[in-house]
Amino acid sequence: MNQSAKSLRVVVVDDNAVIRALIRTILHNMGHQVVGEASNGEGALSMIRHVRPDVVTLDHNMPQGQGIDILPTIVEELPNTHVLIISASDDRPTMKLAFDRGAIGYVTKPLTAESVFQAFEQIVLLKKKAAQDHQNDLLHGKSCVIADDNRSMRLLLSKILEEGGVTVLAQAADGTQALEAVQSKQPDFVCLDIDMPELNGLEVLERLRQANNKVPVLFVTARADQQAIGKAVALGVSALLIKPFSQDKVLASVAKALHLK
Amino acid sequence: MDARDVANKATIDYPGLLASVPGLDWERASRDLLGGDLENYASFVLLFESTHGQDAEKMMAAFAGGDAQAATHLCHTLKGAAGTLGFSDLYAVAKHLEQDMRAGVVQTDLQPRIEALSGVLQDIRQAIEHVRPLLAA
Repeated sequence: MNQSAKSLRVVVVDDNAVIRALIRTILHNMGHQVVGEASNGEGALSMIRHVRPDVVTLDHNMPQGQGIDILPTIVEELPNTHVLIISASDDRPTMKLAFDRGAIGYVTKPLTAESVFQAFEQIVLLKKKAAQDHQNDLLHGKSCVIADDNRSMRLLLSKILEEGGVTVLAQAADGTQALEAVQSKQPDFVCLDIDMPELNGLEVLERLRQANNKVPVLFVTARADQQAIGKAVALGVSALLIKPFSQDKVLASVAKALHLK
Repeated sequence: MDARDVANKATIDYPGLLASVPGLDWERASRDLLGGDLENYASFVLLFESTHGQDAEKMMAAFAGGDAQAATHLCHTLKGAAGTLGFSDLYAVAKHLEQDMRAGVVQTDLQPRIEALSGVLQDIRQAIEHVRPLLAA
């Protein structure tokens, strides 16, 4: 996906060079990035297939290959690419046809920065929601073991994870309990505190890997200790959660760990 | 951009120069498109002139060559750029001409209309050519 949630990669399709330049400037001012431009439908299709942008702004009326003619192909081939029609026609049948064929929005000419801004804000929101849905899908129905010697921390983490659709199979208060729980419950992932009595989190991970257990492990730690982090990475940790954490941060880290699996 | 360029840009009278272009609603267009950035807007006015300055001649040539569709499309494209950048008079003329072209008005009846459009465009072209060296300083 794109580097930041708000900056979209855009291909601008319009046969008018002045309008293309203007759209590029307006999008640049909004923090989006124009990664390609095309002046006709045919050229646009091969470019879009190649660069796979987040958004295509598509002129409706072009001499070779009307924008609306390539719309169904883009929608079918590239489900993650949204198409915004930019058109001088504001008649209802044309607009309806564009939406029927899968356009995400419709901006009428003469253009204003405001109308382009509104349309792009909608797309940014949709992209965020799609990412959120994807994360929810990844987490839902997964199981985990939580190990932390601090009871309130265990409860907090367990509450956050359960709200994200995760089943907490066991909670351990030290490293030895954690190792036993992971081996007996076989969770989808494990959250380990680094500083724990008996075995610390790093030692638990080391033993799991020695036993050829590849379960994704997230370390939860209050300190950004470079040495510990270096060792965790060497042992193949999936994610590091630095306290204090938020619900968003925890769920995003777990989703990342599960996605990488 | 070096210090001298910055100093030059700072002394350019954008409002005065843009106001000399006939039928250009520069205040509204620069605000609606670019948040009032006149330097950036002026660069689009120059781009418009170099891209569309000869469109009336191209339309006539397309008609002369029997390609009414190409002429209509030229008119459509000119209309879009003119309307967006705030060339209000030109936009109105091009819009009506495009409607007539699409409605199938015969070529001989269109001829004076294209000439009228050509006149409007020529005035714009001359005004922009006049201020180009000052805007592009």
